[in-house]
Amino acid sequence: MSSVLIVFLVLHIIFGTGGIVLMTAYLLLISKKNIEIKWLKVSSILAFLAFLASWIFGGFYYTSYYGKAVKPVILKGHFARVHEILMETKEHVFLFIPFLSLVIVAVTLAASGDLISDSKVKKALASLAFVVVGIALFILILGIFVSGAVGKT
Amino acid sequence: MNKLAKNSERIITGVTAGSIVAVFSIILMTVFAEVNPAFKKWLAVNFTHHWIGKSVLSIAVFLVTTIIFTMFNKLFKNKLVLLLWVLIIIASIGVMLLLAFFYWHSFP
Repeated sequence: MSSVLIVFLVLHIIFGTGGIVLMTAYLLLISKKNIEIKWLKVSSILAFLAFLASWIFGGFYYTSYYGKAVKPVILKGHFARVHEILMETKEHVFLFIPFLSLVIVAVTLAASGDLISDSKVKKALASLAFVVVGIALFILILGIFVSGAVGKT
Repeated sequence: MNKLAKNSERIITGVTAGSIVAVFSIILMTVFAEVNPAFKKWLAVNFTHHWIGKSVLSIAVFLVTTIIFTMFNKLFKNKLVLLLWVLIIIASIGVMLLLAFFYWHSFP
Protein backbone atom coordinates (compact mmCIF):
# COMPACT_ATOMS: atom_id res chain seq x y z
CA MET A 1 0.00 0.00 0.00
CA SER A 2 1.35 3.41 -0.97
CA SER A 3 2.04 6.03 1.67
CA VAL A 4 -0.75 8.21 0.21
CA LEU A 5 -3.28 5.42 0.80
CA ILE A 6 -1.99 4.88 4.34
CA VAL A 7 -2.46 8.60 5.04
CA PHE A 8 -5.97 8.48 3.52
CA LEU A 9 -6.91 5.46 5.66
CA VAL A 10 -5.60 7.16 8.80
CA LEU A 11 -7.44 10.40 7.92
CA HIS A 12 -10.65 8.39 7.33
CA ILE A 13 -10.37 6.98 10.86
CA ILE A 14 -9.34 10.29 12.46
CA PHE A 15 -12.13 12.30 10.81
CA GLY A 16 -14.71 9.55 11.48
CA THR A 17 -13.76 9.37 15.17
CA GLY A 18 -13.62 13.18 15.33
CA GLY A 19 -17.14 13.30 13.90
CA ILE A 20 -18.35 10.95 16.65
CA VAL A 21 -16.71 13.09 19.36
CA LEU A 22 -18.18 16.32 17.91
CA MET A 23 -21.65 14.84 17.49
CA THR A 24 -21.50 13.53 21.07
CA ALA A 25 -20.57 17.08 22.16
CA TYR A 26 -23.63 18.34 20.23
CA LEU A 27 -25.81 15.75 21.97
CA LEU A 28 -24.54 16.82 25.40
CA LEU A 29 -24.95 20.52 24.56
CA ILE A 30 -28.52 20.15 23.31
CA SER A 31 -29.42 18.09 26.38
CA LYS A 32 -28.50 21.01 28.68
CA LYS A 33 -31.19 23.22 30.18
CA ASN A 34 -29.56 26.44 29.03
CA ILE A 35 -28.58 25.85 25.42
CA GLU A 36 -25.58 27.75 24.06
CA ILE A 37 -26.67 28.10 20.45
CA LYS A 38 -23.23 29.28 19.28
CA TRP A 39 -21.52 26.06 20.41
CA LEU A 40 -24.38 23.95 19.08
CA LYS A 41 -23.83 25.51 15.65
CA VAL A 42 -20.05 25.07 15.84
CA SER A 43 -20.22 21.41 16.92
CA SER A 44 -22.87 20.49 14.32
CA ILE A 45 -20.93 22.12 11.45
CA LEU A 46 -17.61 20.56 12.50
CA ALA A 47 -19.22 17.12 12.96
CA PHE A 48 -20.78 17.33 9.49
CA LEU A 49 -17.44 18.42 7.92
CA ALA A 50 -15.58 15.64 9.77
CA PHE A 51 -18.02 12.97 8.52
CA LEU A 52 -17.81 14.43 5.00
CA ALA A 53 -14.00 14.28 5.09
CA SER A 54 -14.13 10.72 6.44
CA TRP A 55 -16.50 9.81 3.58
CA ILE A 56 -14.14 11.25 0.95
CA PHE A 57 -10.87 9.81 2.35
CA GLY A 58 -12.45 6.43 3.19
CA GLY A 59 -14.21 6.33 -0.17
CA PHE A 60 -10.97 6.92 -2.04
CA TYR A 61 -9.17 4.19 -0.06
CA TYR A 62 -12.11 1.78 -0.45
CA THR A 63 -12.61 2.24 -4.21
CA SER A 64 -8.93 2.38 -5.18
CA TYR A 65 -7.35 -0.19 -2.83
CA TYR A 66 -9.67 -2.20 -0.55
CA GLY A 67 -11.58 -3.98 -3.34
CA LYS A 68 -8.45 -5.00 -5.22
CA ALA A 69 -6.03 -5.83 -2.41
CA VAL A 70 -7.83 -6.33 0.93
CA LYS A 71 -11.20 -7.84 -0.02
CA PRO A 72 -9.68 -10.87 -1.88
CA VAL A 73 -7.43 -11.61 1.13
CA ILE A 74 -10.41 -11.61 3.53
CA LEU A 75 -12.58 -13.69 1.17
CA LYS A 76 -9.84 -16.37 0.88
CA GLY A 77 -9.37 -16.57 4.64
CA HIS A 78 -11.38 -18.06 7.51
CA PHE A 79 -13.39 -14.88 8.05
CA ALA A 80 -14.90 -14.32 4.60
CA ARG A 81 -18.25 -13.41 6.11
CA VAL A 82 -16.66 -10.45 7.84
CA HIS A 83 -16.50 -8.83 4.41
CA GLU A 84 -19.75 -10.30 3.12
CA ILE A 85 -21.81 -9.12 6.08
CA LEU A 86 -19.95 -6.52 8.14
CA MET A 87 -17.98 -4.61 5.49
CA GLU A 88 -20.92 -4.57 3.07
CA THR A 89 -23.16 -3.19 5.83
CA LYS A 90 -20.50 -0.67 6.93
CA GLU A 91 -19.84 0.77 3.48
CA HIS A 92 -23.54 1.30 2.74
CA VAL A 93 -24.75 2.46 6.16
CA PHE A 94 -21.96 5.04 6.10
CA LEU A 95 -23.81 6.77 3.25
CA PHE A 96 -26.64 7.68 5.67
CA ILE A 97 -24.44 9.75 7.98
CA PRO A 98 -23.69 12.84 5.83
CA PHE A 99 -27.43 13.30 5.16
CA LEU A 100 -28.41 12.84 8.81
CA SER A 101 -25.72 15.23 10.05
CA LEU A 102 -26.60 17.76 7.33
CA VAL A 103 -30.18 17.84 8.66
CA ILE A 104 -28.80 18.53 12.16
CA VAL A 105 -26.68 21.40 10.76
CA ALA A 106 -29.60 22.82 8.73
CA VAL A 107 -32.07 22.76 11.61
CA THR A 108 -29.51 24.11 14.10
CA LEU A 109 -28.37 26.95 11.82
CA ALA A 110 -31.83 27.92 10.67
CA ALA A 111 -33.34 27.66 14.09
CA SER A 112 -33.67 30.94 15.83
CA GLY A 113 -34.00 30.89 19.60
CA ASP A 114 -37.70 30.09 19.54
CA LEU A 115 -37.23 26.99 17.43
CA ILE A 116 -34.48 25.57 19.63
CA SER A 117 -36.49 26.33 22.76
CA ASP A 118 -39.36 24.33 21.26
CA SER A 119 -39.07 21.18 23.36
CA LYS A 120 -40.44 18.89 20.61
CA VAL A 121 -37.86 20.07 18.04
CA LYS A 122 -35.14 19.90 20.69
CA LYS A 123 -36.08 16.31 21.62
CA ALA A 124 -36.23 15.22 17.95
CA LEU A 125 -32.85 16.84 17.21
CA ALA A 126 -31.26 15.23 20.28
CA SER A 127 -32.67 11.85 19.19
CA LEU A 128 -31.32 12.33 15.66
CA ALA A 129 -27.88 13.21 17.06
CA PHE A 130 -28.09 10.09 19.26
CA VAL A 131 -28.88 7.95 16.19
CA VAL A 132 -25.94 9.49 14.28
CA VAL A 133 -23.57 8.75 17.18
CA GLY A 134 -24.98 5.20 17.44
CA ILE A 135 -24.63 4.47 13.71
CA ALA A 136 -21.13 5.99 13.59
CA LEU A 137 -20.00 3.93 16.61
CA PHE A 138 -21.49 0.82 14.99
CA ILE A 139 -19.50 1.57 11.80
CA LEU A 140 -16.35 2.11 13.89
CA ILE A 141 -16.79 -1.31 15.53
CA LEU A 142 -17.40 -2.96 12.13
CA GLY A 143 -14.17 -1.33 10.91
CA ILE A 144 -12.28 -2.91 13.81
CA PHE A 145 -13.71 -6.34 12.86
CA VAL A 146 -12.66 -5.85 9.22
CA SER A 147 -9.11 -4.86 10.26
CA GLY A 148 -9.02 -7.89 12.54
CA ALA A 149 -10.15 -10.20 9.72
CA VAL A 150 -7.25 -8.99 7.53
CA GLY A 151 -4.77 -9.62 10.32
CA LYS A 152 -6.06 -13.18 10.95
CA THR A 153 -5.89 -14.42 7.33
CA MET B 1 -42.51 31.61 15.78
CA ASN B 2 -41.15 34.74 14.05
CA LYS B 3 -41.02 35.42 10.28
CA LEU B 4 -37.37 34.36 9.96
CA ALA B 5 -38.11 31.05 11.63
CA LYS B 6 -41.11 30.50 9.37
CA ASN B 7 -39.03 31.08 6.23
CA SER B 8 -36.24 28.92 7.62
CA GLU B 9 -38.68 26.16 8.43
CA ARG B 10 -39.61 25.96 4.74
CA ILE B 11 -35.97 25.17 3.90
CA ILE B 12 -35.26 22.84 6.80
CA THR B 13 -38.42 20.80 6.18
CA GLY B 14 -37.27 20.52 2.55
CA VAL B 15 -33.78 19.37 3.62
CA THR B 16 -35.25 16.87 6.12
CA ALA B 17 -37.75 15.46 3.60
CA GLY B 18 -34.95 15.29 0.98
CA SER B 19 -32.76 13.37 3.43
CA ILE B 20 -35.58 10.89 4.13
CA VAL B 21 -35.87 10.16 0.40
CA ALA B 22 -32.05 10.00 0.03
CA VAL B 23 -31.67 7.47 2.89
CA PHE B 24 -34.57 5.46 1.47
CA SER B 25 -32.94 5.51 -1.98
CA ILE B 26 -29.64 4.24 -0.50
CA ILE B 27 -31.45 1.28 1.08
CA LEU B 28 -33.30 0.51 -2.16
CA MET B 29 -30.22 0.87 -4.40
CA THR B 30 -28.10 -1.28 -2.07
CA VAL B 31 -30.58 -4.16 -1.97
CA PHE B 32 -31.48 -3.87 -5.67
CA ALA B 33 -27.79 -3.86 -6.72
CA GLU B 34 -27.20 -7.12 -4.84
CA VAL B 35 -30.24 -8.96 -6.20
CA ASN B 36 -29.80 -7.51 -9.71
CA PRO B 37 -26.14 -7.81 -10.84
CA ALA B 38 -26.96 -5.91 -14.06
CA PHE B 39 -27.79 -2.78 -12.01
CA LYS B 40 -24.59 -3.16 -9.95
CA LYS B 41 -22.60 -3.49 -13.18
CA TRP B 42 -24.36 -0.42 -14.64
CA LEU B 43 -23.35 1.57 -11.56
CA ALA B 44 -19.75 0.36 -11.82
CA VAL B 45 -19.53 1.10 -15.56
CA ASN B 46 -21.07 4.57 -15.37
CA PHE B 47 -19.52 5.78 -12.09
CA THR B 48 -16.22 3.80 -12.02
CA HIS B 49 -17.40 1.91 -8.88
CA HIS B 50 -20.84 0.78 -7.67
CA TRP B 51 -20.30 2.52 -4.31
CA ILE B 52 -19.45 5.82 -6.01
CA GLY B 53 -22.56 5.33 -8.17
CA LYS B 54 -24.75 4.94 -5.10
CA SER B 55 -23.09 7.96 -3.46
CA VAL B 56 -23.57 10.21 -6.52
CA LEU B 57 -27.16 9.06 -7.13
CA SER B 58 -28.12 9.51 -3.47
CA ILE B 59 -26.73 13.09 -3.55
CA ALA B 60 -28.65 13.74 -6.79
CA VAL B 61 -31.86 12.34 -5.26
CA PHE B 62 -31.29 14.50 -2.15
CA LEU B 63 -30.75 17.70 -4.16
CA VAL B 64 -33.73 17.19 -6.47
CA THR B 65 -36.16 16.18 -3.71
CA THR B 66 -34.94 18.94 -1.37
CA ILE B 67 -35.61 21.57 -4.07
CA ILE B 68 -39.04 20.10 -4.84
CA PHE B 69 -40.05 19.81 -1.17
CA THR B 70 -38.79 23.35 -0.42
CA MET B 71 -40.71 24.84 -3.36
CA PHE B 72 -43.91 22.88 -2.74
CA ASN B 73 -43.90 22.61 1.02
CA LYS B 74 -47.61 22.95 1.79
CA LEU B 75 -47.73 19.24 2.57
CA PHE B 76 -45.00 19.65 5.21
CA LYS B 77 -46.11 22.92 6.78
CA ASN B 78 -45.52 22.70 10.55
CA LYS B 79 -44.43 19.07 10.11
CA LEU B 80 -40.72 19.47 10.96
CA VAL B 81 -40.88 17.36 14.13
CA LEU B 82 -42.79 14.59 12.34
CA LEU B 83 -40.25 14.61 9.49
CA LEU B 84 -37.33 14.42 11.95
CA TRP B 85 -38.89 11.36 13.62
CA VAL B 86 -39.56 9.73 10.24
CA LEU B 87 -35.88 10.28 9.35
CA ILE B 88 -34.77 8.77 12.69
CA ILE B 89 -37.00 5.71 12.18
CA ILE B 90 -36.02 5.15 8.52
CA ALA B 91 -32.29 5.45 9.30
CA SER B 92 -32.55 3.11 12.32
CA ILE B 93 -34.60 0.50 10.46
CA GLY B 94 -32.30 0.91 7.44
CA VAL B 95 -29.23 -0.07 9.47
CA MET B 96 -30.91 -3.21 10.84
CA LEU B 97 -32.42 -4.04 7.44
CA LEU B 98 -29.08 -3.81 5.60
CA LEU B 99 -27.30 -5.87 8.28
CA ALA B 100 -30.03 -8.54 8.08
CA PHE B 101 -30.03 -8.41 4.27
CA PHE B 102 -26.25 -8.91 3.98
CA TYR B 103 -26.42 -11.74 6.56
CA TRP B 104 -29.10 -13.45 4.42
CA HIS B 105 -27.22 -12.62 1.21
CA SER B 106 -23.97 -14.18 2.53
CA PHE B 107 -25.48 -17.68 2.35
CA PRO B 108 -24.77 -19.40 -0.96
